Amino acid sequence: MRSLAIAATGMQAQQLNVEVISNNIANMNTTGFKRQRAEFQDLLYQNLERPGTSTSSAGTMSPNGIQIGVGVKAGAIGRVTEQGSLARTDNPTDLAISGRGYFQVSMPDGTTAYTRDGNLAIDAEGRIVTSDGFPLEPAITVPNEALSVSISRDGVVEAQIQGQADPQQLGQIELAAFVNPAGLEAQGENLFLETAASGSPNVSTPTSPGFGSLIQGFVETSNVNAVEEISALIIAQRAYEMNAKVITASDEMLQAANNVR
Amino acid sequence: MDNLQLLGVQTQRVLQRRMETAANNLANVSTAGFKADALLTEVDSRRPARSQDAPRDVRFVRDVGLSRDFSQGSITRTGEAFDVAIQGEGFFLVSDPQQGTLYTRDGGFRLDAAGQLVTKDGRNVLNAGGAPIVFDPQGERPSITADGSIQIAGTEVGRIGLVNFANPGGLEKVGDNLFSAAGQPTSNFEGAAVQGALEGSNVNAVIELTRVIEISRAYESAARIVKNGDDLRQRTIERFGRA
Repeated sequence: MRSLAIAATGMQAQQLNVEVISNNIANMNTTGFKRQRAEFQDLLYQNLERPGTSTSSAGTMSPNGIQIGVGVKAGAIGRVTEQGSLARTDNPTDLAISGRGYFQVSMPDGTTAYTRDGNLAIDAEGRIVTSDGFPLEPAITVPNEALSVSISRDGVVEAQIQGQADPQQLGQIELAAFVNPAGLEAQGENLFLETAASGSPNVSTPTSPGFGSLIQGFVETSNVNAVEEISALIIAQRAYEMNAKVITASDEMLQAANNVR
Repeated sequence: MDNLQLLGVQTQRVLQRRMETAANNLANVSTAGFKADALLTEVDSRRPARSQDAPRDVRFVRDVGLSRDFSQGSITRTGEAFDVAIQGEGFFLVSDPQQGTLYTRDGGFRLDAAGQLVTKDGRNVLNAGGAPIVFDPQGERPSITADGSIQIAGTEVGRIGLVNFANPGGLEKVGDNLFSAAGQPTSNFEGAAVQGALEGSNVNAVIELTRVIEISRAYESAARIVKNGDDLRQRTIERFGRA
């Protein structure tokens, strides 16, 4: 009874679907979060009768053949890199990226991670760091006597120093862009790592061709759409139940076969 | 064994296959670009079951082929630049290292690290000339028009291969949402490509589920036929044995 195993693959697929959807809903308020979606593919087919098999001595042939599919599998869990909406925070160290690109973050182990989460802060040493305390790359240090920090659309960081008329330039924020941002490996804590699938980063200043611009005092919210996710959840749950129903029906068939003798 | 049991067993065998087809349809209710299958059955005219005394011919049921429902699946918006749905008839061209050119309705494409347009399992999507489609990684996001033309800032830079088949029913499914064809496709694509959207599965869950219930009950009836045949024979043996 193949239908038992086929329906089981369907239930597994829908379970994965629900897991992905629940992670999206859980991250509805995560800054810079990009929603994921489970993508499915049909499994191999068993050719019981190939198309074109002869059906009589007069040369007629089967136009369609008989193929029995053996179920479904998860092809990929893709990340939808659509822009999230921008929310005003009025915090001078909050930055949103409007368009393509990722902030570069230097990790304690010396590697570089990438993030869209612009919830930045200034640490005890004056460095601009992420909410987990990892410094931005290239490093920018804000002097102690700075009154205010302003960050332009193209990433130039300036500070107003007490007693000085002109603002002092502190550094330049650079963004990294990837050919296939969906291929980045999620690391948790809103961080991503480069992979062979994402391609190597192309680093440049914001607003240069192919890069987004920075907006100070805003953060990019999660691009999860609650209504979409809830309706997807309902569909996934019903699809799970349908596959369970197939298992029940197949079980009844086996029972009927067993009752013959 | 007599006719009654043979008929019952053959009916059960066909019903089991129908169940497997329905189960596969339901398992793929969330698979992008999936097309539902239905098992075709007919009365087998070549092999009539023996019936010497019955008033009518007794014939076996037989599965003759698949009918594949190529109707449109629902199109949902995804907002991804490289998701393309086909509205109407037609297929995308995909190259496979082993099997050559294959065809798909699943337009959930993406770019690989080299900037080539690929399917979610990394197979190249082909252009109208049968070559891979490569994008400039730093370039602007392209827009894709209804006829598959890829445009960047208003100028055409390429064209997604879109083909049609005179008899799509003759396509063979090879898994991974792909079809293989014995014959050559025609290039007169009459559908429309929709960027930023995906075509869902065209499985009608309610119909498939009703079918599952119907098959399960029909199977029970067939099993009962076999059992009744067996009872009948047992009683015959008992009665003649007594004489």
